[in-house]
Amino acid sequence: MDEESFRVLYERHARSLWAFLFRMTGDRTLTEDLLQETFYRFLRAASARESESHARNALFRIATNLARDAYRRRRIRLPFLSEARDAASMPDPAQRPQDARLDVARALAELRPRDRMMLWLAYAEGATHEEIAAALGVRVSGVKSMLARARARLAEMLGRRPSRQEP
Amino acid sequence: MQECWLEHEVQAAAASGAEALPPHLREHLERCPACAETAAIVEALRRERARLAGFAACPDAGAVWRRLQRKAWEEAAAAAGRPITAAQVLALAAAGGVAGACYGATSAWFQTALRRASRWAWSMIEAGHSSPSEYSLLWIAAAAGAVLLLGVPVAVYVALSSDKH
Repeated sequence: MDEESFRVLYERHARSLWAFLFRMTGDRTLTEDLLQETFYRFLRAASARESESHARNALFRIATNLARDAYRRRRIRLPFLSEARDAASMPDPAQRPQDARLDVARALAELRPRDRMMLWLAYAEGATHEEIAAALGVRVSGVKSMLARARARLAEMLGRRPSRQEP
Repeated sequence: MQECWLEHEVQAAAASGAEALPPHLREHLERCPACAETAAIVEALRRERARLAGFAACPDAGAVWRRLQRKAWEEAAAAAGRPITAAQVLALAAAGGVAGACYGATSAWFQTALRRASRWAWSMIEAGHSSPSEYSLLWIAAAAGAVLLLGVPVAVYVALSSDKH
């Protein structure tokens, strides 16, 4: 790949990858590192004749793996995790933070990393079940139910669903 | 909450924005809690994505390209250097062995010490009545020799490879 093709590819995907990685890590420096590493690994493996959608899927697959590795190495401390827990535990939804954007960020932070990635890929990026399965290393047949569970958890945290009763 | 057969359609339409929902889907959302939930989550995540992409601090493409090229070059250089380092270690170990053999063959002091040590070791093994402490001494001497033989090349290899970083 030459510099001009790289520039086109980068301009097209860097922002959405940045948003994904930032929402997964909550850390700007780490996000920038992972973004560059994503493109580096893509360049090392990419063939020049890859289609646009193939390149996009490959980039998100690499970014997902890098974010998962970062979780495994415990480099990730989502800064608003405790706030999310506090907000979610408030019995009266009216007392919960009013800012919808913060609510989404906090609720996502409260989810398990795999659920967070899955929801983002499916609903923010519009990835298919096959693409999600490939990115997360799970079976396609399991994506539907995992996604439904993750969506239910997020809806619950966003106050769109009553909380499940503890046994 | 039960899954709805229109969910995929709702998801695809919601991805284009709530205002893009066709009338039949809008009506459906009022009756179907599962689809209403999906539409709300798609909309919330899309909005969050747009917000983040708006202030994404992506470095310049040209700068990233140059950095990645440099990284690729450095990795290639390091990969090319690795066999040389291994060869250097082997050569050093071989040179050490040859030097040791020459010294052993020419030094009268070393020859005498070696003969004494091997005679002592054989006498202990053949007699079979040596004390446990003498056996331990023999094992310690053998282990120390093995550590020297294996450890020195490894230490040299580690030292040479860490110099490169």
